[in-house]
Amino acid sequence: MKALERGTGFDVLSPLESDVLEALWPAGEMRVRQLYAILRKRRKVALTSVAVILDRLFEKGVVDRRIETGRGGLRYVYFPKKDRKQFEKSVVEETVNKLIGRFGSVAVSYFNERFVRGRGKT
Amino acid sequence: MCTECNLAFFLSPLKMGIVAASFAASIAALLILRKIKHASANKRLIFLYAHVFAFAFPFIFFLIFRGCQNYFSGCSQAKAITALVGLTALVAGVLALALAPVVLARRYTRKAMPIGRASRWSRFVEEHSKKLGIRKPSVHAINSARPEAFSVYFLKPRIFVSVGLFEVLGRREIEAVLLHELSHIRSRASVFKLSLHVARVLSPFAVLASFCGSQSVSREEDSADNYAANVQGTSRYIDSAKAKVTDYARKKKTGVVSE
Repeated sequence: MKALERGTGFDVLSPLESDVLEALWPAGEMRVRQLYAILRKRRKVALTSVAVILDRLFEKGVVDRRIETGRGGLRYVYFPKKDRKQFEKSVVEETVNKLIGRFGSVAVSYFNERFVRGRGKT
Repeated sequence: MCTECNLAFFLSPLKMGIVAASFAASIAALLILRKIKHASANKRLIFLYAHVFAFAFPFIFFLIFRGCQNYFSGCSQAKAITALVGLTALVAGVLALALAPVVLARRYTRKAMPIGRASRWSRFVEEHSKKLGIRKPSVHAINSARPEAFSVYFLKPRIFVSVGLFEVLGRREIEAVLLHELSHIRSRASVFKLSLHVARVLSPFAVLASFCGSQSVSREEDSADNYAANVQGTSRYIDSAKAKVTDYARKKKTGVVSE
């Protein structure tokens, strides 16, 4: 996910968003405090930051959530809407569509040349 | 519009005297509101509504006068009809002030999920509402990641807590927030705050009078914080709860979440 962070030219995910997804995919689903416990071992992070990031990912449609009742009240359980491969594929699709939308035939020509050259090389 | 008819109203000493007295009463009601800041919410509401009524009265008085003069041949019939329209508008305005809180309370409750009586928080609220001598509020959860809590007291008391609040606050911090809301319920602050907002829309005096605005509301908030701190023996938990709520709101608003 580092490849999709801001500053790489893709601007899809912030570094913290990337870390959250990296932790969430293997687990399948997690609560906010569980993710916080994992992330704070890797970097300096506040519980409110993890909560904000998860809510932001939810609003972006990257993760979904359900409410769970526990001893301490109600909690969200977050889970990714797509697995890693599906997510990466959707990012690629969106990026390519944006390029074609913006540059039209120039972009299409480039892709044709690129893939033809690629096939030729192999 | 008949200019002479308008002038007749404004040139009449008796009528302008009534208008001036009404506006003066409107301002007086606001001044009294400032003096009775420690009084119950019901008492303060009476003066708030009195202020709105006194402010609206000159306009209705003018409407009755104009209706009688210009639009109908029989003055007594015109007065009756115009007075009816004017008074209906006034009653509708007052009812709106009274009913808006009820409508809002129902709207919040419909969107919320009740927290079961067996839950720790319902028991906590029950215990402390008995100590306060108030009717036990029902506790509801709102499906929102933003940590927030508020109380509503119209017909029956209710406390609303977001799922986000349970996420980011610890046990003692949540207790502090619930004590804060119980204090609001005791003082019926929610009724006053909502009516205050409506009054500010209707009356420019209320907008200009800062003592009727944020100062009054912040005093309520300080009082509720003090109550929570007194019960818990420290202000640490209510302060940290508020800091976390503010921190979340800042990060959500600015989008800057680096750590």
